[in-house]
Amino acid sequence: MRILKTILVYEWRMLLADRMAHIVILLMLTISAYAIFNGFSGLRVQAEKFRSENEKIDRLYEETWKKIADFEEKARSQGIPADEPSAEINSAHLLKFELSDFTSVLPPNGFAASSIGLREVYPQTLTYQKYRDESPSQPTVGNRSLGNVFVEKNRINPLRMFTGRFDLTFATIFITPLFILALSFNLLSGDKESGVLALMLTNSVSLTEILLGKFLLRLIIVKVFAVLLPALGIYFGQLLAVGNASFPLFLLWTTAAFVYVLFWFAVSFLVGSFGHSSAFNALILSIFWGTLTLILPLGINIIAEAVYPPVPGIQYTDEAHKVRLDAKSLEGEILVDYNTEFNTRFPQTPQNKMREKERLTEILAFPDRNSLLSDYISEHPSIPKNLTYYQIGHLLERSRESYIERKLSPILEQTDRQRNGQRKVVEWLSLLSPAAQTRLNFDEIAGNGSTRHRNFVGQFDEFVRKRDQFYLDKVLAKANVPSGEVSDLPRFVFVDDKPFSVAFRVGGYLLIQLLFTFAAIFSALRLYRKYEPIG
Amino acid sequence: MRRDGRLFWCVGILLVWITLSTIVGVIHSREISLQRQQAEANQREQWLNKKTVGAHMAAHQGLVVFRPNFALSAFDQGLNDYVGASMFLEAHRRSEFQNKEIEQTGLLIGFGQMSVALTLQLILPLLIVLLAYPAIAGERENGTLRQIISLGISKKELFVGKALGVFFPLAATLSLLLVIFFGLSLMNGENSPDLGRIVIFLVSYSVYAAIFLGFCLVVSALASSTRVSLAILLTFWLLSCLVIPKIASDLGEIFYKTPTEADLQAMLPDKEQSRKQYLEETEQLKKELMAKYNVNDVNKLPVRFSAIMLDRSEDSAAKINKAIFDRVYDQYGKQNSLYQILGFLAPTLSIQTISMNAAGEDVFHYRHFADSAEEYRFRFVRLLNEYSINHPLKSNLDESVKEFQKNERELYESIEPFVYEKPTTIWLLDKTKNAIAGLLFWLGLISAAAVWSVRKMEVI
Repeated sequence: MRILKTILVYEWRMLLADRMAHIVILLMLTISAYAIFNGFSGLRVQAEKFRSENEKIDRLYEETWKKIADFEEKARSQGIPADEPSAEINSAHLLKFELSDFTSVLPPNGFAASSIGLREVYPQTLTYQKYRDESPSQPTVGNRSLGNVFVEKNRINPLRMFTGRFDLTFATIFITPLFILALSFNLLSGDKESGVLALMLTNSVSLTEILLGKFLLRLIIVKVFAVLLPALGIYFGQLLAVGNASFPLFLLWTTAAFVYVLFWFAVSFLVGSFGHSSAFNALILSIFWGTLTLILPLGINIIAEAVYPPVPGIQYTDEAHKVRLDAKSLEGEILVDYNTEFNTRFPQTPQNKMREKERLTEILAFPDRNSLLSDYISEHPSIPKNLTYYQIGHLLERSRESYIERKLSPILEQTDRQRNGQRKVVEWLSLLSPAAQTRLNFDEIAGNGSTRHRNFVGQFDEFVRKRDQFYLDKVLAKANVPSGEVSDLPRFVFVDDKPFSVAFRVGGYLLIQLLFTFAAIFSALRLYRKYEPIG
Repeated sequence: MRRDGRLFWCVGILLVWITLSTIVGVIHSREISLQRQQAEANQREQWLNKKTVGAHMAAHQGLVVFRPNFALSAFDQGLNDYVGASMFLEAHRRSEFQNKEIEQTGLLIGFGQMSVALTLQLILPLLIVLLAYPAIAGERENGTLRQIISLGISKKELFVGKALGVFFPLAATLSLLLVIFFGLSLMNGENSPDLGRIVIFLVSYSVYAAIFLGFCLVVSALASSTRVSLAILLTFWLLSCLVIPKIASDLGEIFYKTPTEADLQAMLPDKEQSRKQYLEETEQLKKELMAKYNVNDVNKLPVRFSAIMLDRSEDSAAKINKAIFDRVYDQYGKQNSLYQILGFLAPTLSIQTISMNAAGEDVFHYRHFADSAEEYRFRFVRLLNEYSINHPLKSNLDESVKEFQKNERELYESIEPFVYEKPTTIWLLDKTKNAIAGLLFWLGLISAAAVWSVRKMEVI
């Protein structure tokens, strides 16, 4: 231990005297600071938006409750039973529209500033609006096509997405290894070339102790300046800027970063053990760096896309447009028939007096002229044959969405399959490239990876379906909603990943990376036994 | 170089990578072209066979147009993955590009997509660094530089010789590209490459490679050791190829902030005021038309009054949409121009811009397409509105619908399909001039530095 301490002190003094080491440390700090600053871009806005949209929904429910309560009061004072079927604010029919304008924002998680990840690729905001847009061309949301769901338009210059963002992930994955290589490419070869190594070994100190001392000091420097300090910057920055920082995620990130840093030290250690010159070591390590950070990840992308080619956007757009046109056309046929019969039976009813139309209830069997409605009815036999005008409107809408989903499900399933396949290929092949694997890990930890986004869209999708079915059932039952039940009406609440789930997803890959690292270190130690101190 | 295996590995990697990325790029590009052609044919068929209740509904059902790819996009996909390939055209609205490819494939987004362009922009310079860093510094370290000079070879000849020693093997490998380009132009009739764009592409990459080669030799000539030479060159490569592009795009956003959705919403006219204005205009027009046609009821007009109002609102909506679209793309344009100017700091920025512009995969080309699509949209919506105006509704709505449906195919056939005129090479040069200037600046700088380094080169 005493010898180790002596070596550490010696190495520290040597590094202090080495101008290159100063430059490296200063660069590490500067780059980390810039990366952290960038990571916060957009985060505050996203967090603010999450808060304000939640407040907006709270206000909407509050106002709706008040309107219903006022109506109930009025009904009581006029002696009208408030639970009589009506076309008033407390009817499920109108409530569905009243509460149909809401936006859900994927909130930034407790360590989001560490990686911008896919935040700018996948939509972070989903808005549900009934009858805002009857356009048959709805945008897709990731891999789902959700009726009446709109994504916030991405106002990011595509050039910016192409160049990528200078966040902590980029700095850690691409630049930190270069710092490590700059500090350690001549771990022993430098001393060997200058003759110092032979001199050191004449004292009662082993090569292993020298190696350990050098290795440890550099590891500590990089760990502090390139891992710990930036991570603390993110943690406290999030607390101040966003009011939300997660200590478990901070620990997870520093662990993942440390494993990555350790890997690169192991590579440097291994290359040094071959006994070549410092210049040769530098060359080999540069090639390693280029291969592992650039070439392999590119190759992984290519293989993933070759094995599971993505469904082209053109193909989806073309099919989606056709299906939606067909659906609109079929819906139009039914409405034309219905209106024709209605106007024939009740020619005096004004065209724009919807409530009067609604009052002439259950007078017509709805037309089953085409497959749009009849298919839906056959799947839901409990739907009565005769419906009011409003009810048929809701049913048509629901059956149209069901028709579209049914027709598009082959291409959507194909898209899902290809994306899942690509994901699996990338995850497996990334084991060969620590840079790629670490990228995926960092995105997961920051909550800006594909998993969390899929959860968000999946939960929203599930909610929209349940909500639509909930209101349809109530409309078909001509149910009213008393004020006391307003707070029980469906509201979307995103259930976020727990840090433990993230750790579980990431942990396996970290262990494998550690295995490779220790294999490299042990191989190097065996080779160092034959290391020639003079040459 | 040959003896220590560097030449073999570097040329080998380049050959494999170029071949792979070319195959991938060409196959991908052909597939996309075929799909686009199929989709356009489908869209036309859907358009003609559409069944709807009126011309304005047809305008809302709209149609989809697809952005074509240029021949060189097989080699540089540029921003293609980050911008959708289709736009939906309908009444009242100006849509944006839809369905980005990156949403399907973006898992390892930070590493780029394999392409010939990426190989030439990132990997080729790295290989040049690995080949050329010890070119002169290594000779000096080994003591052989003094011997070479003592044989009567001048420093200038040495410098040029070293340059050619690295240049020839790489050039031979890259000349494959020339063969491929010509092969493509024979094979790919629909998407024949524009000769002007090919020349810009090839010349720019040659200059870019020459810049890196020159810089490597200058550093090697002046560095005190191969270690220092490698460190400086790798740092330069890292800064030019990876770091400065990101900082440049950050600066673009800082100096020319992209408007937010809230900023754009603020450009919309006040709803209450618009409604009031609309009602006033409606009343005014009603009076004028009733006076003109000498009727006392708007339903007795020989034209459809509601369609006239729709047409007017189409006009004002188009102006507002254009203002919004222009505001966003003007900022993108400024950001991209700044990116080009910053090519004076790093040649990679210049070559990236020239390459993606030549391939037609940049913001300027996308805007050009979007503007053309918008002009087409406005025209066909106007035509449909004119039909509505000249065919007033009957008292029995169902009869109006049936009459429309008898003539609707003819109406749709009268609207020509969208044909996109690609921009010219002169237009391209205008959009790329800053990047070209940047590259030429670097060429001049490196040439001057080469001359200076030859004079300052130390033999021992």
